[in-house]
Amino acid sequence: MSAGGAAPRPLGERLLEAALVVGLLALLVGARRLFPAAGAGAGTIASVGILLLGGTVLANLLELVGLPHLTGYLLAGVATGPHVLGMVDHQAVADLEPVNQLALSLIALAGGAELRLASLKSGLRSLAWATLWQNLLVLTVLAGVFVAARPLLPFLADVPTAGVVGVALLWGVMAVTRSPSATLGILSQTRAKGPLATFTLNFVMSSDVVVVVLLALVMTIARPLVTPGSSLSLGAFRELGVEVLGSISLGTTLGLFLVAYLRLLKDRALVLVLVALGLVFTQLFDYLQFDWLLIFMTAGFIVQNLSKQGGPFVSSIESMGEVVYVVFFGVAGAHLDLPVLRVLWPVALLFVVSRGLTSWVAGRVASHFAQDAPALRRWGWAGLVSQAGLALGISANIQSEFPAFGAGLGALAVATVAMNEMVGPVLFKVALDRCGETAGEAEDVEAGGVAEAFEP
Amino acid sequence: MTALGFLGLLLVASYLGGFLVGGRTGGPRGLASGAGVVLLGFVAGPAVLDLVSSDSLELFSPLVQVGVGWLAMDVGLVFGRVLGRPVRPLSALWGVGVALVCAAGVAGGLVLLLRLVPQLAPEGLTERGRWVLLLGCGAALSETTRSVFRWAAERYGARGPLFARLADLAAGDDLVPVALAAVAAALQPLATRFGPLPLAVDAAVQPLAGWLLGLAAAAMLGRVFQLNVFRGVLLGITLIAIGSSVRLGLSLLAVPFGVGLGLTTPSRHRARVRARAISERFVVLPLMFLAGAMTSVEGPVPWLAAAAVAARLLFKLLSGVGLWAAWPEARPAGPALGAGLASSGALSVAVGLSFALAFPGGVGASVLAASTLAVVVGELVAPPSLRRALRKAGELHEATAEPGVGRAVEAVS
Repeated sequence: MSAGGAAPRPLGERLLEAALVVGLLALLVGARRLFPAAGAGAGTIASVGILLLGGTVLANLLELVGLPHLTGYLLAGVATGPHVLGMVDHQAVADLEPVNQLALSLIALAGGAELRLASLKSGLRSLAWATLWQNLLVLTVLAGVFVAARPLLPFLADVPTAGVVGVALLWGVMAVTRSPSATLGILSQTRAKGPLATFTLNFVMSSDVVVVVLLALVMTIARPLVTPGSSLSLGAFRELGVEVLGSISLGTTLGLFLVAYLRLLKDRALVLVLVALGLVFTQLFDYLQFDWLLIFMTAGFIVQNLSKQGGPFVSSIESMGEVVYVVFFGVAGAHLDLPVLRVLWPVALLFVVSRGLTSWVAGRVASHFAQDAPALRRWGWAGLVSQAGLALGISANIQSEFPAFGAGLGALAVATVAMNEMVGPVLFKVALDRCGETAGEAEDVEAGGVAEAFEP
Repeated sequence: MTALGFLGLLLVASYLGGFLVGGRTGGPRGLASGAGVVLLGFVAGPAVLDLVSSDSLELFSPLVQVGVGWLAMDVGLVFGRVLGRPVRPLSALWGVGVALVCAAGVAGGLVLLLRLVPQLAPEGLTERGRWVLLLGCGAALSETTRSVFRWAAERYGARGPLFARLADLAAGDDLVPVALAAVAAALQPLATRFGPLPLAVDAAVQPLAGWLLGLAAAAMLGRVFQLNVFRGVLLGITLIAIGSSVRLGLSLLAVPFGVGLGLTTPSRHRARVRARAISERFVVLPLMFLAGAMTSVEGPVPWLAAAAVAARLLFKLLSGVGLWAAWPEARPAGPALGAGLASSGALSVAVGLSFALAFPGGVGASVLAASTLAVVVGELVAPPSLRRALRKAGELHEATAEPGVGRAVEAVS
């Protein structure tokens, strides 16, 4: 986090840090040649270390030019990942999946806990109009662009026009997904307070539910278009009902358990309890086919709004915050499929630009109807550009439902999400800065006088 | 038990560890060295109830590696300090001497046993394996845990010149197991493109590499201490050290220990680094539990472990006689003082675990079994003996205990 109002880290120090890390990485790369036993990658344990160290230092360096920490974490992941230096190899990325899930569960808990009923009520009009226009316009316009870009998409060569419309609708659903993790990461770094921060948080967190519903709806419509002969089935909605309502119920139960824990034991060993919940329950809920992201978000929401324990709860999660984000986005960076991006970047760029422009238009229209304040009217769209795991999850879902063209669509989704993942956090940070909501940027500097239990 | 269930169990152990070892009330609770958790792990493990299967234990070996390495880094961080004060160098040297005598005694005892009863040699024992066994058992059984002094201070208000010297001794002897573990790891020479490294160089390079990494980490902290930078750098460097050690077959103790030393070499943020980095309360008890669960009683393992622990007790007693003769402060305590030094704890168990992971089979299993048995036996013998010795020396002040002093430090070793 930034040094904020306290003495900032001098440029020389940050450069020294970066030089040391570069030297260390060079040593590790050299060690692979010097010691044959070292093998190709650094191994899973060292990979986490490399992502943490590289991400922390690069984030500090990029802070100088106003870029968010998330960009540093992502770039560190890209640089050390399988397609550049190869220190964090494919095996390590796969091995880190449980750690990634743990990170995401903590991010979802934090996200839910940041949603306050009072702010949701006061911003309900803005949220409702934005949800309507953002989803409607982005879905339809991006679907239209997809149809128009058909000649550029080789995997659609043999698909009839009706099928292309069906695939385009699915693409539209992917386009309306946002990244709660990126939003929370930026807010955690900047500790931004104000209408834009509140609106973006409320919108992005609630969009998770909206996207799940939209996906079921569009899947129902798209299936007969893409697979001629199949009939319109509403079975997906029954499954959806079970999934969403079940997840909310489970999340509420989990939230009440956390409230009881906090009441009885305060925040004692809470970090450990949260890690245990994250590790064990993500696997369990996944197995039971519930949306664990929604479960953790609901649990956080319950703790914040149905008890007085929200403060210590959020502080406990924030104490792990930076480390969680470094690992999560570092792994995401290492996961970026650069060869695919290299091939598909022109088409991906077309979709990224179209999506950004449509979000901007939708933001202006929604603000007009909601009579938003000028800052929100101008920058409300900027926090909605980031995409990450949710979009890729939907893409994977589509791939399994429609294997005939799924692989091509999946590659295009990876390329597009990669670009949005890089651009989105920067845009959001710029918007928050411009709106003056990052004025009290987080101070994480210790001013001496640390309690030293063993050096009295 | 499934891997998931086992993970849950470990987290519960860790949770309890948070309460027992680092409870906020700071009151003196629990046992002096965590032997109860070792026994619990042993009972739950494949050797007794098999609630925790061998497959589950194998699945979690990366967690054990990280735990052992982290603990070693913690030991490096607090090396040179005890009970919240700097260790006096001369007493620390005594600690090194006593630990070396015990390590040599344990190794000698095992050599004798294997010569008298060759059938007790683990199957397929090579010459290198024999050296690893001797060094491993010597390393695991050489030190005296510092937690027993913290325990005595908190529960019985122990203080005085003898108590201080003994605490210094227990703080200084941490160096011996780490060094012996490095030598054992170097017995499998590190192959480079230019040929294998000589043993001495290989052994010395391990803590040195860690120390340089620690120094680099300290340099990265800069002049202004930022918590997020500190966390990223500390975790990053330590995990790189642990991961590289695993990858290259280096000692899981020596390299991270060097990192801890290096981190606290520059004086700028030393106190903050120590205060913020010590996290043993969540590490020690899960490691103890795992060590108990991984302890094997197959073949000659229990015999070798029992012989090693018997030798340790004998040489601790002999060392005690030496201290009684050499230290004027020790005279009132009597010649049986050495029994009070028989406590072993987390560092011994970490040595055992690191050998069990690095040298699978009879050799690693014997070192681990010796380390866990030493913890249990030490728990029975040492605390009452230490109490008796300190009482004779007039250094127990039971009504004036000051809980919390040095708690965070002593549990790590």
